[in-house]
Amino acid sequence: MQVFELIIGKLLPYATLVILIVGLLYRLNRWQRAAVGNIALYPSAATRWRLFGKVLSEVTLFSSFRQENQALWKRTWPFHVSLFLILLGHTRLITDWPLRVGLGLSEGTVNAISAWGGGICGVVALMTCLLLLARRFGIQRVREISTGEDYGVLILLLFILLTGNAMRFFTHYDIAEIQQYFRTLFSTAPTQVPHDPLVLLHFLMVQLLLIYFPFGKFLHVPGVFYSKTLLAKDY
Amino acid sequence: MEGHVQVNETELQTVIDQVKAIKNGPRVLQLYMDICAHCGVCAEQCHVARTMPESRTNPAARSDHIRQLYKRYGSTWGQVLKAIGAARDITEDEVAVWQRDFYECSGCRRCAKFCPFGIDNSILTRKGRAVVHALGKSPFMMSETQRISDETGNDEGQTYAAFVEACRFLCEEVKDDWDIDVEIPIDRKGADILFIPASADLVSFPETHMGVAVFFKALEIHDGTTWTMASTAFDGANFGLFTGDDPHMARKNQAAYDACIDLGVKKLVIGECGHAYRIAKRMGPTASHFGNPFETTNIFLLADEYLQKGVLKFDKRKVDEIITYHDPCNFARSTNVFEEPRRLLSAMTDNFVEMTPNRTENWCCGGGGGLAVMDGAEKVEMIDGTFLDYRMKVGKMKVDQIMATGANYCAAPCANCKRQLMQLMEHYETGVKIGGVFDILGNAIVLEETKVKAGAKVAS
Repeated sequence: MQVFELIIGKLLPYATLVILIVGLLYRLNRWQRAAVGNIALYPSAATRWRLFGKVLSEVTLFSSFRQENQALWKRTWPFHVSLFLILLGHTRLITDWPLRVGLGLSEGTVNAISAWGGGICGVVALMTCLLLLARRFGIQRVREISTGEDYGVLILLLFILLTGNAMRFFTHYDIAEIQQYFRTLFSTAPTQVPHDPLVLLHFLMVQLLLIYFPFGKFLHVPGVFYSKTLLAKDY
Repeated sequence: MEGHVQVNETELQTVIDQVKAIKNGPRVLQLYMDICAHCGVCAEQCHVARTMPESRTNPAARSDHIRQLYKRYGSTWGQVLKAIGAARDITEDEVAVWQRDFYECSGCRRCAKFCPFGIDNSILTRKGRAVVHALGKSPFMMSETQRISDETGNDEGQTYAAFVEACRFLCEEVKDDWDIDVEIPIDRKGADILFIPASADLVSFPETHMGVAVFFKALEIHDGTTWTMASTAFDGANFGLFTGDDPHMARKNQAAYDACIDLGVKKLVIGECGHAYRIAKRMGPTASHFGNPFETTNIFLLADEYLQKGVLKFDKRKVDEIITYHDPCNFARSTNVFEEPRRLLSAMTDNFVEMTPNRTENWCCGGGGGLAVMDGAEKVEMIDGTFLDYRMKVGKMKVDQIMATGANYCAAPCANCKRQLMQLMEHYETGVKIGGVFDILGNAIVLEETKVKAGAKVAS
């Protein structure tokens, strides 16, 4: 157990961070430097502000296929929003939320938001993740283009969500201990790695996801800002 | 059985090299390699995927031909990506598969409209076709049309004499049909406008060209605007867009540029041909962003401008057809021409009906991307049946869409659309007439009276 704790909790995080950041910067730099041709798809956004609005509505509301494919939209939109909120919630582990102080929220209020918001998002993300997986198996036109990567990524997310939800709903974990660990992780005096195997398993899988992020289909997250802009722009 | 499968290693290496080159290619290609998440939305929005529900017609699957090779050979982690199914090795019949599959996509860009990731599969189709073309394996009519065009300056292979004769003949037809004296000036130096249609209009769809001549007559009467055609550039159609042959595309458009400069015109006006306008406006040497000494526009924008000024008058009683309008992909989604033809048609008749969906969401006719000119198997190895069979199959949605409007005339300002739709209407025996917008205009227009006499005098 000691060895696992050392690898997952002390060594791997360094590699994860480096691979994620270097990998993303490498990819963004490539996109940024590449030649841009005129590929406008009309009607386009005539002004800078309209372009901004159009791309914003695409990446926040997934507006292009909202009307046409409501079945998918009803799965994928809550899926992405809940994942985003979960990500936001996890920032609590590394920072004490300057926002909390700014808004004058007590620690208790934040705990309540975390319990309810985190709980709901965890369940929504898990359910929609399952629905997306079912869709991949169930719809012929989706199944025929699905690769091992597509299933693998969903299954990885599924396990991350399962362990995350298990921690919230079925076991008691010490938030203060985990916060302490993350806040000193990259310092000269790191504290002990949490012993809870569920926490370790969850953390390991998240790290695998982050390591894979700059190499596979997760690149649609930063990429969609670029591609939507290319199509919506009036050159 | 030895030597049964002829694997050309050099060909496969060329494919690999061209795919790997995307790594330093345009932003759009790099992005499209990286960001597809295989959601399957495009398959629902593609007329080919819907009418031929086989896995190879799925737009994402077609684009994956390129994507998976790119990941396999263009990435340091190619073997890892292959292990998880994101990449694959090149196959022995890769080129033959590409030749078939990339010519089953008409490049209409409807999928791009709905793709959650903003992927325009037509760009990957063009890339795939470019690789096939570089290997000399473009379908026969595609490479043949390019060859003829390079030789004669137009896709139909018309000689100068034939072109002049066609113009003279059309002037006579205008006189006979509509009792208007027009002329089609050729190489008139110092004219205000150089007009370039798809040369197919001169041969196959002459009524469109006749309508255009009448329209320019109306302009000349109104404010003395003069126009001309060029003997060195009377064809705006350009198969370089379809085969992915950039040098050919630039070469042909260069002829239009040179003609504009030689004749000293102020405006280059492209006719009822969407892809010619797309190239002229955005891609070739005549493109607007080069700051050329002439303006590049098209006949709809010009006509609409005069319609708005109240210059164009129509006699609606002359038009008995119930008219619907088909948005060609290159005019609508690719160059923003939506409302101008509609305003013109609505001014000519009260019986204008829309098909559904329309404008930016319109379904492709099934003949886009140059497919409309291909009838046989075109030396495509793996094709089952002919291109005509294929087109009639995938065009069924379009037929249903047109029939639902109750119209008996469908205006489709694009030589590809016109040919495909005419064949469809015949194949499915619908009796709907296909033509251009200017076919109707030539019939319905009322020229300003007093000046008609002056115009007639000039012509006689």
